[in-house]
Amino acid sequence: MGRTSDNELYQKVQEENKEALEMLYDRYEKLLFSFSFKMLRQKELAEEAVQDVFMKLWRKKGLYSEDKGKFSSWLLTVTRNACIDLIRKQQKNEVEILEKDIDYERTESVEESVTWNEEREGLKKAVSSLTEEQQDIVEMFYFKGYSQSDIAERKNLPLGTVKGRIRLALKHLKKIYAERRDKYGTENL
Amino acid sequence: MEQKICDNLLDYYNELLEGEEKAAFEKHLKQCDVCQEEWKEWQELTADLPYLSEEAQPPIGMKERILTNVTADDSSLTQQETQSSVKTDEIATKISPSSQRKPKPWVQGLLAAGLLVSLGTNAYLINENNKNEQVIQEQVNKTFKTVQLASEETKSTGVASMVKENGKMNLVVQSSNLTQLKGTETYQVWLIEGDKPYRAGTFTPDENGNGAVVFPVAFEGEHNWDAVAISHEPTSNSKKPLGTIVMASNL
Repeated sequence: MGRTSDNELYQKVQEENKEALEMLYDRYEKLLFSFSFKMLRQKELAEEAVQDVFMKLWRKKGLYSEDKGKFSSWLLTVTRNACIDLIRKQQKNEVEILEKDIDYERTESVEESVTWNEEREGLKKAVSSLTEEQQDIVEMFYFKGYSQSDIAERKNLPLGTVKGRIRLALKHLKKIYAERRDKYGTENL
Repeated sequence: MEQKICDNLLDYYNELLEGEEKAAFEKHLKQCDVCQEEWKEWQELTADLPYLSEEAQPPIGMKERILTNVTADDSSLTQQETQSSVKTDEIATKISPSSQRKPKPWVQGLLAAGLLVSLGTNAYLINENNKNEQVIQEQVNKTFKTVQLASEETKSTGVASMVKENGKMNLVVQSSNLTQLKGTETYQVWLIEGDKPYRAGTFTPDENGNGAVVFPVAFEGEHNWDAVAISHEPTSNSKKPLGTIVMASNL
């Protein structure tokens, strides 16, 4: 007991309550930063994305309401959109991101995110049951934000089949993951 | 025709539609049951994917920077944003024509983070540091380049000079008002060429946050340095910048 819900915190943030903002920040910093880092592959950019998200929370009133689904899911969508914006800006500047130069710095802090780790392990196992092509397609579509025609070109697929393939891969992923979750009883976040 | 609009759903999901196309799709989405259904489906199918991300350690000081920027007075922030975007453009154009080398993600990232100082701050610095400047100039007659360093986030300021002495290049860095370090943390100085940071050396400021150091620049081969940066590192072992860039300037 005693844990203020995300929704309550969001309402307080709407009233410009800085403490509530800080609490929400602490709650989501690591998840949002890690997700942004996965999408952007650069720490400075990932920080910018997280800042954009909190800027929106603080400045733009009434963006979220409960009919938009769970707060955390909504927040992750906002984060993904902020990352996609930055990816597009980068592309406009024709800046290449050289993956080999990136530090894949990881810290496995036990107490902070046991649930997330379990979630990730489950998801990773599910992902590994996809074919390599399916994995690529999911990566390109979701984490890189490619257009259907870009994916078609890169994977040498007819444009009309791209959507079907992404959907199939995601459905498969969801199914394997759900089965696993039922079996091991990992609590959803 | 209708089918064609429905086909835009995924590109809309990936924020690829702009202007009229976007507005048209949004209007369509409100009316088309099939698309609404599908939209919901995609939301559900992708909801877990962010949790696939490996845990990454946020840079030191990120929380303070973000919360300060976010809650800063609207007017001052708009100003800051404008300044940093102008600066980014300026440097981006400055860098590209002068060399045909690959783009510089590292520097770019740094710029993108808006860590470079505004020109206004620099001007202020020159006045403030007048005495220090003179001291440096007495020592070094063959200064190749001198740049001012400053931070948007803190009061930290500094001067970096490339100095040639007896045929050997040295990097002289003098800084003040640095945030005190904790535990194993250090400040590291980096020379950046293209997308590659070279570690010039490590230092710890005194109890007043001041530090002056000379690093011999002895990297093999010819180098054409683009920028100098000081980062706040968790330990002195970082071979690449892991912490936050606290000050930087183009050379």
